[in-house]
Amino acid sequence: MWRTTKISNQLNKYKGLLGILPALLFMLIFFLGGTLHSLSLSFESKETFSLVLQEEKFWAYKELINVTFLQSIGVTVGIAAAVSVLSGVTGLIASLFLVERSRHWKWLNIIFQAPVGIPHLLSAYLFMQVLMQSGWYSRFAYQIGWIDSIEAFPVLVHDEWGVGVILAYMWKEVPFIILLISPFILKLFSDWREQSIALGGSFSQTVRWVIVPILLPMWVGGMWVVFAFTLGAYEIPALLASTSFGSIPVEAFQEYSQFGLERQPIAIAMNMVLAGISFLVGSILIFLQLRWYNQGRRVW
Amino acid sequence: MVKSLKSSLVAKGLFIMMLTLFLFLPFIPLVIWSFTKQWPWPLLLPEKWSLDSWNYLFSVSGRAGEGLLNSWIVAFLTLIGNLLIGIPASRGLAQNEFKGKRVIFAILLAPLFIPYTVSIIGMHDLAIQFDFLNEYVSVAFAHLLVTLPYFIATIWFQFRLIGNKLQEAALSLGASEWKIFIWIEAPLLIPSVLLGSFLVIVISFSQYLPTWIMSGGTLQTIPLVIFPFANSGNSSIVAAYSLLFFIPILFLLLVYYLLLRINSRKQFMKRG
Amino acid sequence: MQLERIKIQINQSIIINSIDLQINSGEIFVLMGPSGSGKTTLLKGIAGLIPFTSGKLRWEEKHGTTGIVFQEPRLFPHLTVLENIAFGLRVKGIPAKERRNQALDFLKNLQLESLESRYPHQLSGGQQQRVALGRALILKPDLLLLDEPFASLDTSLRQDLIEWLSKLQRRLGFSILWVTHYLDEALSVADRIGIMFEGAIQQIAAPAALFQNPATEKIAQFLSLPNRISRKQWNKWFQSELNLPTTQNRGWIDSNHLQVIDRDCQLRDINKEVSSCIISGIVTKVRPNREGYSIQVTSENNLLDVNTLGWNKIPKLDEKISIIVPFEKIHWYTE
Repeated sequence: MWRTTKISNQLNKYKGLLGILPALLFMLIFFLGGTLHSLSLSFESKETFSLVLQEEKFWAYKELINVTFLQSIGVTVGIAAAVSVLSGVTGLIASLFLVERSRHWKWLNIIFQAPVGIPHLLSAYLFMQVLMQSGWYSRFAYQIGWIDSIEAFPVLVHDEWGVGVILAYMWKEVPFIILLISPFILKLFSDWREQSIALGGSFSQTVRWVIVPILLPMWVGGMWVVFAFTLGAYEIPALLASTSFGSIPVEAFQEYSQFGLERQPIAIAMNMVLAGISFLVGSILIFLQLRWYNQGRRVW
Repeated sequence: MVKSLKSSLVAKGLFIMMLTLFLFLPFIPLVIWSFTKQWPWPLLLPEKWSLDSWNYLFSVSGRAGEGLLNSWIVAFLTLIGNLLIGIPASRGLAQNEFKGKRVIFAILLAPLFIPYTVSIIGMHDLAIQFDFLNEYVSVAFAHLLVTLPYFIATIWFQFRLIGNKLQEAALSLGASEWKIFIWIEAPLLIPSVLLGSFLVIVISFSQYLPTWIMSGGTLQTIPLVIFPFANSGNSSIVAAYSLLFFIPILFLLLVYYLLLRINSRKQFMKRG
Repeated sequence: MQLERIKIQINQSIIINSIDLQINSGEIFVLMGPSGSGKTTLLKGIAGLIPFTSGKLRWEEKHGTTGIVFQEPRLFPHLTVLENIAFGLRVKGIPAKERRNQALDFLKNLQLESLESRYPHQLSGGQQQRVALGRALILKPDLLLLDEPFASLDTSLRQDLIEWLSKLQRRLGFSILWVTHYLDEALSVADRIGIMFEGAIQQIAAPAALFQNPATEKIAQFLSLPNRISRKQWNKWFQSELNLPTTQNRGWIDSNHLQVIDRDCQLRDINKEVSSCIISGIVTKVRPNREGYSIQVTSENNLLDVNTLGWNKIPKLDEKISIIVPFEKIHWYTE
């Protein structure tokens, strides 16, 4: 009797783990396998297409080593970093306000979270409509009397600095951060606010010394998700950035879709660089987090 | 003291107002554009209204019907995939402690943290080699890769909230594993499965690059139909398409809240 | 500190209704009451965590300060012991170095030296609660508010901590408003005890006075005083040969003062000078205790709890026995 329960217990445990297997296999085969297969495609020697450069295995990667592409990396990573940090900070501040007075302003929650359900393609389009020199905001500015001609409105779409791109991303990602962290902030407030007040702490001291430090892993994780997504996303820079802007996903997709099979390894190599950067950033974050925990902290 | 309190209150109000406007205002010209063909600068509202864009949408060249149908088929297949492999995985992760759990978790959530375009290019090349795969199915596979992390995270969280206690109680009363799942966990899981499904469908609807790569640009889901118009700057038609895009999302949101309501009422009746 | 007609209302329901209370400096005042009587709400109100709907809080001299410790330690999980203790100093804007010195100094009082760089989850339950106390005490509050601070600890640890805290209190000289539902805890520390029901304080008295003279039957019941019998019944048993009090209509007697006697042999040994009466009844329940047996005797529809000494003679169920009651051991109170 004892033995059978023990065996069936072990079997049950095994069954529970069995449930993970399909999803794990799926990710291993398609995410990891797909990446590795792509990698092998990018090593395909040019010989398949032409007779020269027969043994050049890394030609696609070598071709990327030039100033223009390095600049593109700078621009792409810069935009992604700016979007993730700006969205992270704005989202955090907004969630703090929302939690503080959510009882009064329920409808704000709806507005603050609605953009999560709207595709990036449309957010790009929405911002094109309002930010263009002939857009809706420029009409407002004219009607109010801030500007007197269409040219006086600043260039925010297809511009040099990617202002439109960053704004369109923020429109999507600030609500994402709010959606992600506000339930946790709500819980942290109910757990710690009273204790902090009892020790004399003000609202801002409670936020700075208690709420944000405990929330940190979750918040940074959310920013990493935003960073990784922005790094690889195509629609917004494709619609809102100028052609010479240098967004790698856009350049890669052009190589992939317009210049034939011959250039496919280049497209893969470009995306591979992005994946590598995100992996590197992630590794650094995980390393920092582990070190933080190894000092003995337990947050959740 | 009072003065600084007041000014910080003003700053807060200003921040909330700016953010609200930032998020809400862009919707307004969208609605307006879909009902007009001509709207010259600097008019705040157009002088002439028309339904031409909406008529064009559902004409043969507008392809709206085709786009909607394709989007729904892919989203539906993606959702089935998520339900089939996502729920058992979340359950296994939430209810078991074992070595290497973090690594497995990291692998399952990897597409959230690392851009997935490369893997989809690889998947596409593999799919070409197995060319018996249906176009819808192969695109759904790509979408499954994108949506599965969100789905697993949502369901996993709910399983953690449910905890093991009810399960242990049922087990001690002699219920089998299946019965525990059907009788105890499934009813408690419904709200988060609804939320997860909503996320999956919305994310699947909005995919451009994975759909394009996986189908070689041939499967015309709504984003693929819209993109050329958006790029060409035909404002009116794109606006109409965008609104068309919102309708299923609003519809889903409505269904989600309705189902949630029915579910909570049922639970209440059971308890009462 | 003095409370005047304090009233607290939360969501239209009155939790605290017109409470007057004075706590002297250096005093330990224990507040007892059933759960839901509003003890925690009152503490939070005094600590300023919940606003008073009406009423006033006054201090003897200047404005006094309070510290509060809850049942769960509620230590900040991301801060070390030292940082937790120094939190209140940090709020006050004391520079880091001085903060550290003060906190390190205070750790000695808490007997937590050498644990300063641990995180809360690395401490035992008793250590965590000491840190929580230290975190409140380092701010030198005039009044420490304790909300069942040791309720989740086991008995021996609880007694140690009570001992430790009352020593610390005597040395540092702050006053305490201490909420607990353990009678032993209350008796071992209290200068005065207040009993609270339904948002109002029913009786305030020194511990001994409380037992000798509970203000109402409800309080007597809350203190689980045994053998609470009406004057009428006592009168019947004593056959009115004694001067029963006229104003108080109920009396209780401790189970140890009731004595089981053998009807024949012991009757003549009883000292006739002590006025007493003999009650006969039937044993309806028997259970052993530390010194003998606790038995329940039914007599004329009254239940009496009696303790016997020694384990030699085991009372039998349904046995008819006699009990002798010494009159002077009865404490009288008003229903």
